[in-house]
Amino acid sequence: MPNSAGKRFKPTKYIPVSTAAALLVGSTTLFFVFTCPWLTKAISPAVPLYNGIVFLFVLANFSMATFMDPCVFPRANEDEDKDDDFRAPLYKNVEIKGIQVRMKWCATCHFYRPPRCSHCSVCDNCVEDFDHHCPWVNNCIGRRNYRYFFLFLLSLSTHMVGVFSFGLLFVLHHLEKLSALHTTVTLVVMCVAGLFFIPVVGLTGFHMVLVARGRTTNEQVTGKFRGGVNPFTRGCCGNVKYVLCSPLAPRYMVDPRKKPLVTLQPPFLRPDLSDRQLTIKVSDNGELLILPLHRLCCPSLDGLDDKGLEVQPPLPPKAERYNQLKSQLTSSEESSLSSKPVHPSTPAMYKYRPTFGTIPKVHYHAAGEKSLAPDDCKTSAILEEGGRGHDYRSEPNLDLPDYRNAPLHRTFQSSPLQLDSFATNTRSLSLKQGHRQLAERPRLGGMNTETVTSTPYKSVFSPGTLSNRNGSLSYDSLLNPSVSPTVGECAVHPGVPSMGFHSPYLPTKMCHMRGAELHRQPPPSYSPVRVGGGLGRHSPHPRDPSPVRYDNLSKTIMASIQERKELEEKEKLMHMHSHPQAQMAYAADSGVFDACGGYELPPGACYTDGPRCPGSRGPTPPVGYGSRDSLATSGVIGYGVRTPILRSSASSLARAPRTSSSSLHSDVTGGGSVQGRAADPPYRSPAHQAHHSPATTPRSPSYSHHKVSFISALERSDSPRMGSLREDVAHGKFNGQPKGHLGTSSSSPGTPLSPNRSTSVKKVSGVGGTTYEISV
Amino acid sequence: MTIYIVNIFLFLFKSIDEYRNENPNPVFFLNSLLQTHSLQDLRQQAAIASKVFVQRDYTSGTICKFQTKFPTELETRIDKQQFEETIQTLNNLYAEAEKLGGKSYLEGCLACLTAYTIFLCMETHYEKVLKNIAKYIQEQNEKVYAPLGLLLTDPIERGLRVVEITIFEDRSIGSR
Repeated sequence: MPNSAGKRFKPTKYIPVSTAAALLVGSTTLFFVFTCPWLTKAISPAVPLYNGIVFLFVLANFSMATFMDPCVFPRANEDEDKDDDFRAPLYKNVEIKGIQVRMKWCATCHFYRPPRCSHCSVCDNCVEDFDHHCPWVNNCIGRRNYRYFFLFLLSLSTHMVGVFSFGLLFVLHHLEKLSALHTTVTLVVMCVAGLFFIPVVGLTGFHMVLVARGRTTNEQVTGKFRGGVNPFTRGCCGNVKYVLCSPLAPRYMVDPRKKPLVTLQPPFLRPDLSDRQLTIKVSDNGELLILPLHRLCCPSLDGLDDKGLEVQPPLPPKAERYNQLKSQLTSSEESSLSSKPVHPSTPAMYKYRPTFGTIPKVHYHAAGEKSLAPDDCKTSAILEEGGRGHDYRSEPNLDLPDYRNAPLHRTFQSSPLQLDSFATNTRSLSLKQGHRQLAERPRLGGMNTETVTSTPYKSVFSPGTLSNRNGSLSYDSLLNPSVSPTVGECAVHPGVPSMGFHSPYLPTKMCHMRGAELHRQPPPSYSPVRVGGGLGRHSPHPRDPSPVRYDNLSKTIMASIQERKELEEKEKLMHMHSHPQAQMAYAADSGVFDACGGYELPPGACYTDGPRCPGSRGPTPPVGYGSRDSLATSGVIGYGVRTPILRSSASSLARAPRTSSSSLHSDVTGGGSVQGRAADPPYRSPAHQAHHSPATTPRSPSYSHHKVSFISALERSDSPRMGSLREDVAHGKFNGQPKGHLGTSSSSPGTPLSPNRSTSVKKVSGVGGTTYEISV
Repeated sequence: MTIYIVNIFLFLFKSIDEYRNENPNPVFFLNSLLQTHSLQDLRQQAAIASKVFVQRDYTSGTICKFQTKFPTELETRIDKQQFEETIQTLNNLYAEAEKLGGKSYLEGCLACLTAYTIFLCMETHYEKVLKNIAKYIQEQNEKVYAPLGLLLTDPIERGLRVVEITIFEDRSIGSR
């Protein structure tokens, strides 16, 4: 429906429909003006009458098909989405008259598409009994207007036959005066009718067959019932009757003003300002914190956060330190935000809450999420930082539930699959995790390193590479809790590595980082059990990160992941032998890392190739990021190099923070648009290739490195889950992406996502410019 | 002065919270916030504990029919028979709306003859039944569901995909 499409006015969209209307009306008018007078005289006045009626019928059906709502499904609310199990499959099978029919999850509309329903990419809506999108009427043909479309075709064919034959009659009687105006015009009209007769009649015949068999164009073209039985058929007669005589289905869009109001009785009413809703807490600083306790009831946590923004208490003095971090955080947070809306909150999140918990965080965080405008984000981020720092230091309240974290965390918990955790796009997630870790830290005792975690994104993604270096140094220093806060910028950067270990969402780069860190520690470190021993990197919930993925993943993505698993497995095997080497590299890297020195990464060469790389990522790679980072980046860059689009990818990197947020938002709002319509495909494709075919890698050394390191890192981090992890690493990338980081994804390994998307939905343009969507 | 400001904050806080409950969609949320005429209304909002969705039953084709299976979430709230009766009545009404009969045929012919201009001034059969359904749901809500802290949503608002049943927090029991 025009709703979404109307946002962007595209004149080209109206070319076919206006052409059709002009041809139809124009040639018919000419026919009536120049041909009909003679016909009336020579044959009968019934001729123009007949033609007039048919023409009227054609016009009426045409306008009905054009302007009628094809039966668009309203998008589901988030709460309904939430209702479904997050790990629910991409498809749901339903039995219709004893035949299994697959209902596919619609990531845009947030429901399982009912049988025969399909999502129209042109209108960006789910349409019931979707037939096709017809550019000639500039509308989808669906349940409500198929009848009119069919009648339009029928009547148009009739009309054409009539015009042509009567025109022929006219010409045959005026053979001697072919150059006369009337004859010429009639000839022209006949030509037009004759020209369009063949396609129109062909289409009419096609639809007659479809109607008789009870199919839709979409089903026919995609071969849904090939070799199967059509559960929707009612027999030939029944089908025809159903199309022509069934009562007109209602529109699904209801005017909200017409909604009836039902009042509830007192027991269910919320008392005004009850204790349950608000808790006023005075913190050590003397700040006044207002907590809504009521959240459980809230369908979405985000909303609560908004409040937090408005009600924000004064920032603690410590906030200042964090200001530096804020910009970085904002970007990451934004991305996280964007991802959020897509996923309704899971029950799991509730479980989590108790674990983390500084109150102020909640508010701030929420604010960041909500605010779409970059400026807002910034401010919110600042606030967050301040709040965080404050919370964390002044009073770690473990007992208080951390709502902010909850949405993200819940995903972790809920999903048993650790694989996801490594997805590249999940920067935002990792950020969150970092926060979480911060919160948790107090518990752990001395482990401060994690505090910094939030910043790591920045280092990885931000154009300023220097920060990374510093970060690595600071990271070491951070190990001491006391030092970390003071470090300021350094502290921020160092956080990167720390982030790596925990968050499942980490981009591949992050994963690398994590590997490095792990490496530093004694060998046993990567085992999941080392919770106690590690620097506290292992948060009490080591498993959390991975699960996030699944939840976040849109269902379509999940499906694609499954499909690709086999491929991934192959890849794994390939890399297995290279593994030992990779580990060695890690160790070396780790050493460098500690020293804060830059080690030279083979991938560095890649950078040189990319004209833009130096600018955006710049100094960083050569300087020697973290070892992991460099590897990761090199890997990414390597992709870029191969592709002509390198430039764009590089630029995207630089822009990553902002872009990602914006893209995320668009995803949320646009729904299906995530599927990487416009520019995305090119970026992704290279990345995609890389993952799929190891063979292609030889060209860029960095590329190969990247892969190896990646895998090894994974193994280290979770030895028990290794097998699954590897597979998922690749998966994770795309998983994260759809939700959060389109912009960044282009550069990051997460890119493979797009290919999946593209494969999942194929657009086929058929005869006459109609668009079919084939879901694979 | 500060107390006054804090009070305002508290109030804002709470009202936003409530609106949030109702409109998870941020845009809606903002809109609704802006459209609020009197904040007094906000206080009357009840807290939503959860929602239950009764899905469509496709076993007999694509005609509109909802599953009569009793959702376990409602066990503590409503009698099973009562619930099934409601759904069954809805199903019957929808079946009537989608029935292929002389009436719908005549309607189609009439519309055709008048070049569909009749749709401008006449309600279709389906719309009439939908009105009945809306009336029925309203009535059921008032008589049966609202007193139990439940609320049925007209399926038409969800594209006839689900019957949405909102469960409100029961404060008398003190359940969270």
